[in-house]
Amino acid sequence: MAVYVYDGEWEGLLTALFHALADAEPPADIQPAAAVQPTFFDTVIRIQSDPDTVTRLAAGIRRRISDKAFHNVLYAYLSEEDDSAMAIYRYLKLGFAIGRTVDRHMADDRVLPVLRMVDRVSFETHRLLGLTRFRQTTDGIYYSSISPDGQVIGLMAPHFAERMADMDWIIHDVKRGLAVLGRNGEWQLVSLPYIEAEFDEEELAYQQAWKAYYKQAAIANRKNPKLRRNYMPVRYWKHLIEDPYRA
Amino acid sequence: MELMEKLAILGDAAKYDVSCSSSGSRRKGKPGELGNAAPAGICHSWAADGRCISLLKVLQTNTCVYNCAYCQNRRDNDLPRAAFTPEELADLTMAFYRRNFIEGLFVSSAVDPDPDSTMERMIRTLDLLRNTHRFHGYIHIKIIPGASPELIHRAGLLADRVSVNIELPSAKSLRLLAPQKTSQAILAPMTQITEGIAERHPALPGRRVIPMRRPGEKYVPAGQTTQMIVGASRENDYQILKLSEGLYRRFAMKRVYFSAYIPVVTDSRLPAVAGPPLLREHRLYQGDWLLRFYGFSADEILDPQNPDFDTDLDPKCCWALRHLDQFPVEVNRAPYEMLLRVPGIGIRSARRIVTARKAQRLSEEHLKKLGVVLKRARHFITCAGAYAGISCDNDDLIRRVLTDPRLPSTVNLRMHEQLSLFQSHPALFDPNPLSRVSGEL
Repeated sequence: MAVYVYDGEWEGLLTALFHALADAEPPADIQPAAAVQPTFFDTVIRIQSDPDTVTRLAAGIRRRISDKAFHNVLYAYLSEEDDSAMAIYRYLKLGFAIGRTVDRHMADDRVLPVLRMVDRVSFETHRLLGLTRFRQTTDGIYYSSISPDGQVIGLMAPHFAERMADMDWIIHDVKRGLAVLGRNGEWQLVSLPYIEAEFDEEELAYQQAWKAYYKQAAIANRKNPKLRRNYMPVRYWKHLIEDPYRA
Repeated sequence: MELMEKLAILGDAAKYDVSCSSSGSRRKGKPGELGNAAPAGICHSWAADGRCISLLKVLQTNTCVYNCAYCQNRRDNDLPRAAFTPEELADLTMAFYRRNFIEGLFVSSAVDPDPDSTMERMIRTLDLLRNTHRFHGYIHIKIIPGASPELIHRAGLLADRVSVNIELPSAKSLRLLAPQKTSQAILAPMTQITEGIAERHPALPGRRVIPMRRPGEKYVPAGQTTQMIVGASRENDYQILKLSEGLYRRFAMKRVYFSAYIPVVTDSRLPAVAGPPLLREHRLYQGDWLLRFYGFSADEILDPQNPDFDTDLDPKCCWALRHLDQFPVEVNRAPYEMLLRVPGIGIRSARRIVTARKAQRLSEEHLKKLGVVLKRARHFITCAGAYAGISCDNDDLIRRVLTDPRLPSTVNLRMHEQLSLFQSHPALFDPNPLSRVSGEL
């Protein structure tokens, strides 16, 4: 059976999906190059991403299924979950067969996994709108680092661009070497493997103030660490300024 | 005094205030200026007690001329006192907001030396934020009972959300524990805010002329809330729930918050308690959700004969067990409003069911995928005709299954378990629950 291998990019995925959907026989797998482990019986098909094919599939999803379906496919891709490409394949296969009512099939195994990925990506984006912390560098730029499960940095950017229109700011996804740079209400996504930042006394004082405020905000005879972990999983703690380990 | 020291004192003094939300306002950012507001609200952190931190919650001052029995800031309590100048508090809010620590400011205050001068200082803080710093983030301001209608109106034009604490669930308790606050001083500003939001001309004491809204001005866009302390006075849950329902209806409150009484001062008028009544607070919030989102009235949830919440089961389960004649409902047909009344089906899963059943007939397996808590729901529903609960007319039996973790509630084990239940509790035995349901279908 066919294993489609693409470059890990959005355009690559759409090109691979286009070919996989055109094929009568379902693929064994669709994977980014880094993750592929074909078995002896698989035929590996390496996909070169092609702009015309990308446009064609994108337009086809919008026209023959719905704008919402296109949004779902994008979010499922951004989840970067292992089985996301195959889940999207099954979702689109059904979508092209039945059209815009595909999202009603919420309990169907061809639809549910994609909707779950969409939920997780949306939820993580929302969570990080709150959990992202900026530190003002000596250059006057507000810098923050994150390492989210999904590639949500581009989904977070418009919120901060609108909110922090009088600041220069950076959100740095250190897990993926990506960053969003913001200024004057505009933002752009760039590749940024590493950055060095310095902070002055005033900045450190604000960080101290926030740490102390965070610590005192808890009511001692209502301590509930499990509830806190439910709302704020430990994997998000390392980029915070406050220190839940000591508060 | 160092600013950080003030923050320590005035943050600590405000932390018992329950309101945390930053929701209800949609305000776009402006080019070259700071801040916006998201309608759903954004939580920025969670403290060790599991409560979210969304706003910088502080008092303008904790120096108080009042001496309310339950309050740690009462005049006779010996503790460090501090006050923010409006400039200090506005600057601190800006610095925290730029670092994305917070969604905005929650400012309350102790009363020093009188309600009007206290409100004026708070309003000055808001005025600096909005008009000097051009801050468009979220602001919640607490109204000081007894403040003049003009000041309340100005606060409403600067803030997103406004709240007046009702403090205690009855006028009698208020007279006992907070003799300097009267229910009239609490209800008057609530009424003014409600009418202001509804754009009616405020009926003001003394008939003073209040500048109404200019075009484009927003008045309390995120609405008004209130809170009360639970467990410091004698009211039962039914009285408290009825009061909340009244507040929602009469004042169009966005939220009524409850705070489990925590002894922070000793006073002979206060009850001696081991710890805050957290389960009671939790049940009240469950009841509150039933009022606001599930279409229940207070009298359906509790009544004078059963005035307190069940400790073992949530209020929706209790209601369903008292109304087994309305169950089981067929998930493929029942209206949305009825789905909401099924234990184990929340708003999200009810909406999913309504969507998903347009596409296919739903089985129990499907419901599981849609997020229904089958452990509770299965006793109250049929899925395409199939009933998988333990009994559709024996509330004692369902209650036992729901409250005793040793009893499984799955279909496969049902007959076996009924047998053992029958042996230990012959009176509970329901000979054949399935036939009765299938007889209907």
